[in-house]
Amino acid sequence: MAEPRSGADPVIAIKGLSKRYGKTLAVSELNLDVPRGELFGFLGPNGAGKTTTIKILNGLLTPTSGQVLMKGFDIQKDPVSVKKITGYVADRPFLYDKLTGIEFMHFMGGLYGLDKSYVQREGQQYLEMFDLLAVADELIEGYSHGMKQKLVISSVLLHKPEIFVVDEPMVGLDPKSARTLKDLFRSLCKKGVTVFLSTHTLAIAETLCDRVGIIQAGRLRALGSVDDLRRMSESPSGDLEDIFLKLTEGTDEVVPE
Amino acid sequence: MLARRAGPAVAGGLWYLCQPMSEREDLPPQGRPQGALMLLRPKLQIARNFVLSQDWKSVVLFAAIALAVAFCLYYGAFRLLTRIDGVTIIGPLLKRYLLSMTLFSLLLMLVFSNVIASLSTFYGSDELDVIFASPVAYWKVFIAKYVETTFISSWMVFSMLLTLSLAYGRTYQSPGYFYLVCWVPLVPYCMFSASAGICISLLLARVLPVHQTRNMLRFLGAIAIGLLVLFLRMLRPEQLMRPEKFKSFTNFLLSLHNPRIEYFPSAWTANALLEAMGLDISRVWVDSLKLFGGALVTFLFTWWLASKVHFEGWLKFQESGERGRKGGLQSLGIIERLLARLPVESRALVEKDIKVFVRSPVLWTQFLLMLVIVAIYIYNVYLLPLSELGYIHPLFPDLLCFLNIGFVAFIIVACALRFGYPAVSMEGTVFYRIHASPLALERYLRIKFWMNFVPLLAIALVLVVVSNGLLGVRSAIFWLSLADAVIVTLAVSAMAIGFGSYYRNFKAENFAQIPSGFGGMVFMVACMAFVVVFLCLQAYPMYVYFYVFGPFLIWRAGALQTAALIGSLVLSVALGVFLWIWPLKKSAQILRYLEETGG
Repeated sequence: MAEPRSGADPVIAIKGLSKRYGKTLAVSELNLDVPRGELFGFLGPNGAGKTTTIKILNGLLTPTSGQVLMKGFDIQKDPVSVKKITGYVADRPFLYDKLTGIEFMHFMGGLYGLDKSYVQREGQQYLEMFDLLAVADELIEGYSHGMKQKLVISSVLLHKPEIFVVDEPMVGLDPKSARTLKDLFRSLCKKGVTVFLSTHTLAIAETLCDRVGIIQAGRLRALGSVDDLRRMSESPSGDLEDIFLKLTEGTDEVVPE
Repeated sequence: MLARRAGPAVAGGLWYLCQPMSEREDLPPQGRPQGALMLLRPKLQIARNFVLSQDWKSVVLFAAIALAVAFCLYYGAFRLLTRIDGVTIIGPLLKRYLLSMTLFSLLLMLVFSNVIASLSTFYGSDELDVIFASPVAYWKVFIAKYVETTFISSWMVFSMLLTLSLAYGRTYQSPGYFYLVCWVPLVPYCMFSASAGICISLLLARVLPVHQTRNMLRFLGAIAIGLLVLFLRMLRPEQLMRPEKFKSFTNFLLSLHNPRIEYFPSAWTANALLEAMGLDISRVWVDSLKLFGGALVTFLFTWWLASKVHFEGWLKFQESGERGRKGGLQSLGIIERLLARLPVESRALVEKDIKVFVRSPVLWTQFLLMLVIVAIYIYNVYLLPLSELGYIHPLFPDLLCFLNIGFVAFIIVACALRFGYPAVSMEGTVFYRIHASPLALERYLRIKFWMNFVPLLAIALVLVVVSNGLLGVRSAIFWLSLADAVIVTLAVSAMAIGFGSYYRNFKAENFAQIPSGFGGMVFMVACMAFVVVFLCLQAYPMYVYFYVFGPFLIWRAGALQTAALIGSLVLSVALGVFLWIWPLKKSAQILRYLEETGG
């Protein structure tokens, strides 16, 4: 596993971020820096505030307080600059069921103003990478959940984002696709792309991520490499699951006030 | 294809994955700037893919039905306008009044329709997640959503007004160019209502959580439409056809003139259309300027307003999820106690469906509309000059009672389309749980059938009993029409479940979408065909009863006539019973087959 890139400029800088839904505090005073080229794993139980944080990073929710800077751009003040350099894959991504795979790629290319011939060429290569080329001209409604997930990831890579924000990417993927995706994330990080990954799968976080942040009830409970967390949890022999359970034991999902 | 250069499973051609970020010199090549069409393209592609994925026979049938409906509308309007033309002196005035009133009434309905549609397109659409996560300029989003909203809300009214305009053009013997440009004034007309509707929803979403707004508006819309229809009925427009009731010709003409309507875009549209038909309308240029200029100004205002409040409102919508929201009905009270007598599986299904119904304003709205239609129907029967009809022929009320069965059947079909036809589709993706449960599909469909049959029968019986009472019909015909109502409701309810199973749509975003699809149209046509055949089979016995022997001398009929009379009645009943049993049996087979084949 790669060492944390301490001292590097943070590409993602979250400062005092809070988000309240009515009386429910979903994210509370979150402070987090993710340097360039890091694969950051964001872990937490259901309803802990992961998706809320990720949506705020992508400008799809407004924070109640705090600030998010993506490569220096404030998501509140300059959302277009942020969106040009980020790629976002939702946990339940939207797809037009009655479009074909390649038509969807062209739609996504159009959203980022990309050249059509480039989208055709590059899109086909991503589809090939994920074994989707053979079904590129078929309607998406016939795709399995995993195929849809791979198509969304392919389409988000088209504009070559510098920051890749992915919410639960491994859900529904077969082992081969999961492996492809892991290799992809590693390749992206090697080239300097920052990957912000939310996952429930502790094994993925353990083997893939440079650093892990554990969020629970809207608060960041732990932050560091898996070794750091192991030390923090005082269970040096334990795996991430033991650490996770120890750090989040006996907790509620959200903090209603 | 480029060579593989990166990690084991990563295709090498993608330099993005291979070049260090620091060495990246060229960003992805940008294409030609694209307008809002880029956001509308998926919708067009979806429509094209849908048509291409259909069997060509279905496409032809659908097109033929659409053309037939348009032609019937055109022909009916033409005949009506020709009749109005025949009214001495005031015919042309009546025609203009009718056009103006039609455009005015539809404008109000379109505004409501646009409010509801824009809440879905501007706030509830899933694609907005993808679009707002991208750097696409807002003006493109606005124009795409504006066009989408206008199309969804207005296409049906636009088509209807187009056929009406063509009928008007023919009665006025308009010049040839009219048929090329008659659609032009309808575009700003639709834009006015779209702008008004979108502005209302933008402002409402600004101050209210969107879910509540949508639900509230559905209720308000239904009530408003109902009140509008009742208001129009209370005006008794049929009196306009009896100018003798007015004290003087001047009073009659004054009653046609409503100065307040002239301030609305509908009046400008009517004037622009009449001018295009070759009629000399004073101030037409002023009205045309108001129409086109006003549409542009309201469009620009809506754009400005949307750029200020839409995105923030959408963000608010993201937060106005259903978390913590309690169901509107925790207990069914007396209904629950009544249901306790049912077997447990039936009770589970019935309880679930009642709760879904009670908690879904979209269903309530439609139910309310149906009640309004029933009330209007009874009111129309009440308005009939029954005493005068009795003088024409003593059996005239009895004959009306027979024809009444056809009208009641039409209302039952309309209700079945709204509530019975979507019954299976409304299960959504949960249907597989039902299919996987020990509950046999046949039994499941029977439960669905009875759940729809009981309320439909109640409506049918109320309609028949009240209208027969008002008509003062004889007991034999009274009982026959009651029996017919039961048979027709049995058949139509079963056909609704049958067609609804065959054309099931488990992915519909809301219940209102389900009946408006291709299957809904096929169901309507099939039901109407059944009703026509059913009534034709009973026409002969009715003919014999009324005109050959009269109600008191029917026993004089010969053996052949009696056999034909009884045969016709038996055939009509057999047809109804067949269409009650067969669709239910067939739909279980169809559902099982489709589930097994993934069709």
